[in-house]
Amino acid sequence: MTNKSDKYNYIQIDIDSLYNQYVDDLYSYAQNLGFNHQLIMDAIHDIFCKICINSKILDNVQNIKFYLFRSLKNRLLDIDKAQKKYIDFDNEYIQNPIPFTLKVTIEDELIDREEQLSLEKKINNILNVLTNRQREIIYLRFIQGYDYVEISNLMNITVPACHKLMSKTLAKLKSENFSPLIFFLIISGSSC
Amino acid sequence: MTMKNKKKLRSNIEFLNDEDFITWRFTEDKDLELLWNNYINQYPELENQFREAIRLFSKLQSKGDGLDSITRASLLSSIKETSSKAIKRKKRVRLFGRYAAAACVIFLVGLFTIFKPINLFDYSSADDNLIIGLEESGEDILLVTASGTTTFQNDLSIHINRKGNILVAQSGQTEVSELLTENETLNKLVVPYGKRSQIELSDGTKIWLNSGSILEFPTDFSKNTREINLNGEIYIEVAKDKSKPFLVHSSDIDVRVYGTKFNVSTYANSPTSVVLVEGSVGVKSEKLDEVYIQPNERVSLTNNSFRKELVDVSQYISWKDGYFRFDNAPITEVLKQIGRYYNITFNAGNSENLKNITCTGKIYLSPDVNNVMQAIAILSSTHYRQEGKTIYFNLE
Repeated sequence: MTNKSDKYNYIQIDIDSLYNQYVDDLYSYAQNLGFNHQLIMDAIHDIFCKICINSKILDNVQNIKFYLFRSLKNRLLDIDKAQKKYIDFDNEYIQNPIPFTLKVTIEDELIDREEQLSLEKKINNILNVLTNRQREIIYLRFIQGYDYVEISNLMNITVPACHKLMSKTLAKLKSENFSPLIFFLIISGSSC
Repeated sequence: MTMKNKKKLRSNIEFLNDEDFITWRFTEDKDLELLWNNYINQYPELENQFREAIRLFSKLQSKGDGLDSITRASLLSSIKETSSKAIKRKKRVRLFGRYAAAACVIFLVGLFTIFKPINLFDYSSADDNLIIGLEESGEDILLVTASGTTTFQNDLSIHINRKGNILVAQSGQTEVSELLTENETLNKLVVPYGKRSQIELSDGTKIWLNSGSILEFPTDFSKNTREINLNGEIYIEVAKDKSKPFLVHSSDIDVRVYGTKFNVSTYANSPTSVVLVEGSVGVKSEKLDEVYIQPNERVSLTNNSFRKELVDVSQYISWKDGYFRFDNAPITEVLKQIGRYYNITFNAGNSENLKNITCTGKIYLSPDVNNVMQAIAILSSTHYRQEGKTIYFNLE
């Protein structure tokens, strides 16, 4: 009997640290995907419950954070689909693009408040010229640090498509911010 | 060539504000990286500022409203509560499995109570222009195998693998459970009202079980014939195997299959019927000789005789794809089917007006019963409202 309750406690503690470590990232990811607070709470609830109930799920998981992100996205889409009105059946189920918003913040004791705000504004403006998918890939790669295999899985596209999306993102950023450095790049590229 | 074109950046903040710097950090572009390295080689005195800028940029975070500490804690405690309840339930199921044989008997008795024909339309009820429906609480799906009885809350998708084990996936979940079986005993799948399941048998035959159905199937078809037992409704796509005829047994008819797709409905409160989509089948009852059906034909058993008619098959099989199609169907028939699907019992008033209302159209079987009720109200020009678990339909 004691054995069993020990095991139970162990799972509990595990969940606590897992939850505290990732809940913020998960919440902000879901928010960026454009889901409302209640739906996000439900989805986070569901994915953690699943782990609590069967902790064996995590045995074969190499990257827990990635597993959590993927299950959260799937769960969000499932709940969302289930809530869609019947009227939407014919129109809306033809894959609607999921919006992806991204606002960044940069906090460090070495930057003063004013610089921080203007910098944030600048970066956010740059991110705003991108498409939803382009913002999403920057978020997953840069902010969350996923590799391309994981990104391809989370965004439901192939790895080559991820690379292509990233190079399109680059092209877009370059064309939006045509500056001397790029000019230099072109010249040096052609003269070398 | 030198980097004259790029003006000299003085501080880490200037680096951070440079579009090319931002683009480079975001996209990890190799060309830009090369360029920045050249740039720093050219102005080595800037290297420290440059490194600092890279460090600061890596601190960039997604800005969200975040969770306040109370919401955070209450979400965690609700996760723990829900899961510990579920774990207890699971333990109970496991315990149950130990007494599998006894459990089977108990379940069987229970089943006959559950599936006892429900008098859907009690005409004695008062109001003339009103149909009242009551949402019943959902039962779990049961799967009885050699390893015991397992219960599932969601619709199932079942496969039998080469080792002869049953793989079960619940809809909306990625996890797959594996159940042991024995070749001698039949496995039993019980799908209550409000739930559905799909199964692929060892020979590749695919079966969709509608709500309120019980299917018995072997793990492997080792005999000369492939036989399954049914109570309820299935749509089945039988895998071709000329050497082993396929038989569907039910309480009042047997269907002999010669490689084909068809729908069998044997509900207690509706006439037993078979609708053929493709191929050819023979239907036989204890007292009646075998009749053969052609595609697009429906055979129903009424008053101890078979009646054959030409039908639009999609109306009879659309449930497997998640919608119902009706063509001038009386609202009572529509509600009967919807009730089975969602586990709602309807009580029609005795108004002639209501009986004459017909529905034509498609109803998407959304997980939210409200959407379906709205669709019925539109198709039948009635008003509907829901109070708690009770549903009211009213004439305009």
